[in-house]
Amino acid sequence: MADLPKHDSPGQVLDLNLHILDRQVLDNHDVPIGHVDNVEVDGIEPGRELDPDAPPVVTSLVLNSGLWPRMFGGRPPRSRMHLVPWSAVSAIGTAIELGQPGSAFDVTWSEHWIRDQVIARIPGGRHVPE
Amino acid sequence: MGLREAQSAVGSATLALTTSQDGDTTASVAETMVDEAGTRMTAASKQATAFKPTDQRTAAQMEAVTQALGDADTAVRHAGEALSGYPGAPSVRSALDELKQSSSDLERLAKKLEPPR
Amino acid sequence: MKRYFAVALGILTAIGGFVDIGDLVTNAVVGSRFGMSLAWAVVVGVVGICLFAQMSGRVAAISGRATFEIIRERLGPRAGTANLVASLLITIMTLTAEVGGVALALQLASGVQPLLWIPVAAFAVWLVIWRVKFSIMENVAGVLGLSLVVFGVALFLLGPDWGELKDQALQQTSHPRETPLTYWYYAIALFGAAMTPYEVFFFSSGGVEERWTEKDLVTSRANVLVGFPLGGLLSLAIAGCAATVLLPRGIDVDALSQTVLPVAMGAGQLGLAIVILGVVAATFGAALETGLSAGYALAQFNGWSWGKFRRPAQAARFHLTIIICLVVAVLVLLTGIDPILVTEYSVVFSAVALPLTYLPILVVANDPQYVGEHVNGRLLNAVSSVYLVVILVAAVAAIPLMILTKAGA
Repeated sequence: MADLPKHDSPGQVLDLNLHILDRQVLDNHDVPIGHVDNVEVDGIEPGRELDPDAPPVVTSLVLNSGLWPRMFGGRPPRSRMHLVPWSAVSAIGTAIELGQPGSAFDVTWSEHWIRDQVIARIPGGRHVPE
Repeated sequence: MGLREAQSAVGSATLALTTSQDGDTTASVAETMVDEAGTRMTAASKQATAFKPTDQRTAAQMEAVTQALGDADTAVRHAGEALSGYPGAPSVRSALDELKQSSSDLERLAKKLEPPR
Repeated sequence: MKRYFAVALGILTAIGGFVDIGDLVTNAVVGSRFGMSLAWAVVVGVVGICLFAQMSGRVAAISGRATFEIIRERLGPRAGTANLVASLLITIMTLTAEVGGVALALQLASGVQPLLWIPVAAFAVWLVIWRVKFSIMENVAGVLGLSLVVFGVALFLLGPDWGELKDQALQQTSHPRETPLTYWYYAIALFGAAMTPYEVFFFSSGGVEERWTEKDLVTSRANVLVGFPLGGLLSLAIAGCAATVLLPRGIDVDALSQTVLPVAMGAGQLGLAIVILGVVAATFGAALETGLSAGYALAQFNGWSWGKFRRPAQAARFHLTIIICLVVAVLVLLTGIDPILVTEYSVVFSAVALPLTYLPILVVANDPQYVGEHVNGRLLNAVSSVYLVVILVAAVAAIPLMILTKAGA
């Protein structure tokens, strides 16, 4: 971590690989909603040199839907990816925190589906353990 | 060839009988132990019958082993019957004697078959 | 005052929680075949689990991140997924063994076939995970498990030849009926029984469940450093009982009944009742821990919401995972497979999988971003590195030894 490049702009210097990828993502109530499987970056075109004045920008985090392509290559259709815009990120520490409740993001659909179809129907499913 | 397993099973059944006679252990534990020893004996016999002797000498040895395992199997079964105590079952004392006999047979056989060092 | 009570309770539950079906079976098998001559392997395992649990507890308390979140972060997708698959398989295998152990112990108490007890035991495990608060679950199982101390009492009452036991442990007397390969195979099995990976998933996730903070570090350290070694002593007492009663009679342990029989001989029917209670509590407690650990591992790896501090409806996928794992365990057991056999394999595979979880924890315990000023000290890192080598050697040697010895036959 010592050899991160110096940066003029104020704020945190983050290593995408070390601090963003595969991190836990929490919503604004500290409820885990997913892991960062991949990121979407704007401003890179194949075959063109990077322009130092207009560096690539991370636009979204891909949650729980990009592991397979990351391991084996390929690219899922956009409709299958659960994207969280970078603007929703409110803090980055040992986990990435979002400023909104989890239900605002479509990555939590399977949680909601299993809750509504299975878990909440079993007696006691909606009660706190005693 | 299953001798060691048989010795262990016979020892286990013996211990189950003696402790239940001394009142150290409960009927359910003693019966479970003898049951398990029975299962172990079946496995040991299977192992012995699966062994195919290639020459006369080993064939003779195998016969002795199969005989001893059969006796041990009977002894363990009698132990189970003695514990359950239904009419006509062998007494605990005679079942114990039978186990003791079988145990010394197995030991003698194991010593004989042990390759000289 | 409350604090001392918390420390004492933590230590007691750590002792009671240390022993599970793996320790019960492996220690009795080894005691009946090798006497006390593998006692050193228990000691090595106990020191290892202390190191490991202490590090993962510290990481959980300070960063709030449990083990599998860290495995995912540090190992990335490929190695992480491989790790998840291996860890889940072993945890489910251990869960199967524990549920089977509960059924076997209930058979000893009642005389009723274990096949009938299996669904009952699994349902009870689920019900506790579903409805009972984490701290109550943990403390009740741990304190009841403490009745296994009767193994130690029985050993004294049996009046063994202590000098003989000491000689076996220290002078490595020969075992005419065994080969060196089986000796090393069982050394690894004992190591794996003491250092089961699920214990670490559970310990670190438990830290998050109980909302540990920096203030709880002392308590957690005391639990581990006092509780686990005492649990190890209990393991040695189990081996000692088997070495005293079963070894001289040529009885190789292959059933739970043989494990508890020496207690009956030493302490009579009262001792027998206590030890059966202890075995039920220890295996039941471990079934709770392994069931939860399977849920923790999968949920943390995927970043799902998890934990018993939430309502089940707020951790739906976590609870569904646990239900599925319990169903799998029951189905496996209903095939009639011997739970003792499952146990013997599970402890060896635990040793195989250990480096997968140990290494990421060791790395993160040195990362100030996670643990701040509480990074490993120099001495701790030296010992941990030695253990990394031990763990790697055991993991690599386990499978070849298993094949060569036909799983210790």
